[in-house]
Amino acid sequence: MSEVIVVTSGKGGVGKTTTTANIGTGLALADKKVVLVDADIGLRNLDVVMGLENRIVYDLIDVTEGNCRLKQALIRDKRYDKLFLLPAAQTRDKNAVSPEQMRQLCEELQQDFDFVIIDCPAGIEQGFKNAIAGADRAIIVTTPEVSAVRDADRIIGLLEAAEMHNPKLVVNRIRPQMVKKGDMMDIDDMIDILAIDLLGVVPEDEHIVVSTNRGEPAICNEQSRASQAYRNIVRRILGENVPLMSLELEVGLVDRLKKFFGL
Amino acid sequence: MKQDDVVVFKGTAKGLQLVLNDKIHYTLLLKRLRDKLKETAGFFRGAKVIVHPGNRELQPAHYLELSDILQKEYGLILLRWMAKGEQEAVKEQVDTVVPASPAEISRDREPLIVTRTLRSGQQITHDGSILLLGDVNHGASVMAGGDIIVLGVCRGAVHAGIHGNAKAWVAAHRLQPTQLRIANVIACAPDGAKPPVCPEIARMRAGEVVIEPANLR
Repeated sequence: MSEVIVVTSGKGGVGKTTTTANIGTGLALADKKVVLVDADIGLRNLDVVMGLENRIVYDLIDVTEGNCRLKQALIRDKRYDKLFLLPAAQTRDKNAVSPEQMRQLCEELQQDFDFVIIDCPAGIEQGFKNAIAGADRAIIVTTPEVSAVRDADRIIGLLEAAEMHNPKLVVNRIRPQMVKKGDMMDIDDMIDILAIDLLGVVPEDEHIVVSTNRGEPAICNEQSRASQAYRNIVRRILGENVPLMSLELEVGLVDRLKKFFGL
Repeated sequence: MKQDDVVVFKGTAKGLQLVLNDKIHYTLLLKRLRDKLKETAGFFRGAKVIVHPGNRELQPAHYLELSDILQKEYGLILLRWMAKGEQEAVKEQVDTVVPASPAEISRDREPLIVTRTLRSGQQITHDGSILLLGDVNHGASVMAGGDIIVLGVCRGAVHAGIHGNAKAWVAAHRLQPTQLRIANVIACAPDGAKPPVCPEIARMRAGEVVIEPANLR
């Protein structure tokens, strides 16, 4: 059974592309056949994050306009055999494709892949409508900022209107120390407002910047905490019941003693 | 003539109306219009208005000048000019919208029951009262001719008594709206207000919106 998942957020810069790349890679690591679709036409990034920019010959628009066959436009990842990318066109804009074309494209991809993951552009206009057209499920990415949570709320409303129910939430770039001090929104505040299921929490991690610039998804790096979080998210997508990881960086002696005595 | 009567903003069912007095001299009218907009300190910025020039014969240059003042200087959005013949009809409309006993209208209408959370960008408007079983999130708005009851957290904008019923009220399990309006009175949440700890009700008392714990007895 194959699934089409759209990764969306409303607000820009919260980590949709990074999340798409890592979840996709993680699913491929779990031996699933995965295709990542970059729906951000005109502002493509996913190819850069995946380190596949130099291999692009055909893109999504070439497929929808019939300039090439779908198979010709798919780029096989350099690390994982089961991972593919369908890049966006850079010279066109969001109006170059229609929701109906996206729906057909997703149906076609579903025949060959276990997971089709769509990287949605920021905003709620044409690009968003295209990206969600062919999807069965949605993952909403937000950061612990009031503005990002508001936009996520708007997106959930729009998804409901498009008959896509029960989206899952990924809270990205959380800083446990700041949450602890009360300087950052905590997970419960966000869940209270958005009232959707939590898929995972990804801590702020410098490894992400490094790996994004290098073009290798952070999930490949076992040392990184964000990588651990993404691995857990992938396991949850595959139906496992994984508890949220502890966000505490270092557990002090006092805390350990407290825990020991059950306080 | 009182200065206040020269340039009047009216909230009607069709939207915000700007009524310009047609008796005073044009140059004086311009001055009063600027004074009024200056005085309201950007409150109407971005508001969409229908301009009602009364019986005054406006020259094309006057239309341009007035529209420049409204749009370029003070940032309002001019939807359209009301034609002279339209005045009577509109006057009538305003009158029917705000009847002598405003409490009557909302009672006539069936209340609307909404059983879901309103998210950002979603809006519900109803002539009668609204009972909402769910939250009203930031960026959502609820507008009712009658009362509004939210059995959840009310964070968005709520407007009870949109047709001018000052007896309308708003009650919520947790009442923390960004803006609350009753009839034509607007109340904003004070900055840094603590979240409420019990159900509350907002009512008009002596021309002001007063919020107090809901006493359901």
